[in-house]
Amino acid sequence: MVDRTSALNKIMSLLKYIGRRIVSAIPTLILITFLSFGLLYITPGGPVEALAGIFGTQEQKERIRQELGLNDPLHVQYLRWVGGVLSGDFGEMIVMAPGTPIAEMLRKPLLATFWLTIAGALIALTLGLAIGALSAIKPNSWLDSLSRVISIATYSVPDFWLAIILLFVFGVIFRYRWAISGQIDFSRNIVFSLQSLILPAIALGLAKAGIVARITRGELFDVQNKSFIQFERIMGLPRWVVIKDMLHNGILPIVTVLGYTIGLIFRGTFLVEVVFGVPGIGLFLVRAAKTQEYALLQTLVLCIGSVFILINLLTDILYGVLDPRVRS
Amino acid sequence: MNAGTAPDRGARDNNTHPLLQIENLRVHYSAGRQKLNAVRNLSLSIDAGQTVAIVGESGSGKSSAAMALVNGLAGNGEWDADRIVFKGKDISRQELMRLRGRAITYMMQDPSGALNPVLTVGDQIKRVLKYHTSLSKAEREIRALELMERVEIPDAASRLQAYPHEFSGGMQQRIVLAMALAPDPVLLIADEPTTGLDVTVEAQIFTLLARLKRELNMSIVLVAHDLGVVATSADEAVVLYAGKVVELGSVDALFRRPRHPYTIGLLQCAHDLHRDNILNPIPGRIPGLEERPTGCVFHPRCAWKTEECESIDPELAPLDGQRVACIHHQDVSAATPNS
Ligand SMILES: Nc1ncnc2c1ncn2[C@@H]1O[C@H](COP(=O)(O)OP(=O)(O)OP(=O)(O)O)[C@@H](O)[C@H]1O
Ligand code: SF4
Ligand SMILES: [Mg+2]
Repeated sequence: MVDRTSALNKIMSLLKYIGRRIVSAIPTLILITFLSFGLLYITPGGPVEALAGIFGTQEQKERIRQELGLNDPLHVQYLRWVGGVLSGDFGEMIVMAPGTPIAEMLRKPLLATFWLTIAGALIALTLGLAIGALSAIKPNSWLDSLSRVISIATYSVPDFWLAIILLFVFGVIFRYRWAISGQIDFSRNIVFSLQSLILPAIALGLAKAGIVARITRGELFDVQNKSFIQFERIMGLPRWVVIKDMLHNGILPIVTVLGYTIGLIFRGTFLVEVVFGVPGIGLFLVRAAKTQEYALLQTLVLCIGSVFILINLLTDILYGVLDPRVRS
Repeated sequence: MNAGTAPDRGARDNNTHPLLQIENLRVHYSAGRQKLNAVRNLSLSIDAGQTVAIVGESGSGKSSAAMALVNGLAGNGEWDADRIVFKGKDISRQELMRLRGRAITYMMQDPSGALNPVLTVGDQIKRVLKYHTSLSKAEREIRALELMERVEIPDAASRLQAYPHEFSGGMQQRIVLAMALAPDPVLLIADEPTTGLDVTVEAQIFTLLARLKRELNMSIVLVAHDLGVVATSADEAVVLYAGKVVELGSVDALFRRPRHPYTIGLLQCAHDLHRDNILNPIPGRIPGLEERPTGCVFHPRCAWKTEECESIDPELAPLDGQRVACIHHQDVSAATPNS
């Protein structure tokens, strides 16, 4: 009975905490809408020149401005744009594929980048946690030294450099057929997608595994000497209970860097995609910038910002689930 | 108390044997290739219902000695003893270790860090009950509440569901005490249980400990650096300096007639503190593990030191019921009036 009320208490305080986190993410989200909306006015030329061409007449330009509503007051334009975004209308392509809705244009590359981020994060986390835990169990052993060298080596090289090396080794030396990737689209061809995913994901994951390993090692090592772990031990609690508590407490600081790491991996995908030729956000970003596809650029900035907010929100929530101190 | 929770209760009222006797306890820590002695040949005898204090300055090895008894030394620490006798029966180190968490429990020196921050205090108390008693789930629920009330936590029923950070330091230490009392121990080791707490809270905790000790008829090993606390709470005291017992005896005798220059210094210190005088600590400081001097460990700070003291390590010799390790104890005694 008491168990049930305490479980209920826990869930209530957790829900309140999640609510607070969501509310506090809203100002950042609004800021990001300003930034993406404002892009329109800071890109040279803007949509009018993109549509009319540099040699368009004054009248042509004026007509386009009228059609696009660019003569309305700024706040009206902003609200119209936000309204569109909220109903799923991000505008249309002008140059690359005139008339195509942005949402349709971005679906596949977003998914590709999503899978790439997930795969990279999985590699970074499993590798990092495993190596970190092993070296925490036997500090200063040969394994610990080896993991230290590998960790420092991997976190001091950028992911796109690793990507180039992997591309060279597998593509040029081993002539691995999939070194140059294609579509990552799991709804079409799973095997092909996995093969396209593998090298870029390794490049991304390996580059961040080192830092995860170092933090894991430090935290798991420290937690062994915490007073409450010592107290549990001398109170004669079973070994597995003590180990479980060590993991639970040791993982907390790792969760705080989790969001940051996944964010870095997400950002890393842009360049790595370019190296391997994966049609994801990164390639699109480059093309959108080159062709002044303004609605596409706006949407990309909005998406990237929102992804960062989402990653942070999710890690905050995970932290709240694991640590009662942040809930209250 | 609940009968189902007392596996080792049988000999509690049997006064023929001390509850626990340790002969020549030694603790060392390894640092690289070196082995550093933190405690050298400490012997203890604790009678049922008695409080034995281990007294000494910071770094003298009190926690090391106390932790050894529950096999709780840090990873680089090891301990050893010539003989361990529990209720008149010789036992091995493994057997002593099996008593921890049941017949022998421990209160940590650091109340704010001794509780797991991610579990409710109720869950932490119930966990001890789960692994060390035969109580059913429902009985554990009731017993946990009883324990919270026993250590005088206000509003105990709802506080069971609170987390450690929602309590003050004094309340946290009460919860640590509740956990230590949960398995109904015959011996409680309390390692400076009021470190970091303010004076009023300290007094409350000691009053509570004294009352519980009487009610539950348990023995206590009290680790302390404050002689005032020892005077009011303990029956016997062992004075530790740099890992070595320099004097031991009944608290009455020690306070009336300290024999060792170190004990005399400590007492003087306590008196001055009491009278709000300028603090008059013993000049110098306790040597670290790797810089322990030859001969009498206290000689660098001793006013009575002679040349002999630098080479001869005095044995703990019996003296009217007390025991003292000082080459010149006769001269020291002659020059120090009874107080
Ligand atoms: N794990 C360890 N490794 C090396 N030396 C240690 C270790 N733990 C304690 N020591 C040393 O052993 C000596 C005794 O330490 P201990 O903690 O037993 O002292 P204490 O009397 O309890 O002091 P305090 O009053 O500060 O708690 C100190 O010199 C300390 O530095
Ligand atoms: S043996 Fe010597 S140095 Fe040690 S306490 Fe006695 S008089 Fe002082
Ligand atoms: Mg101590």
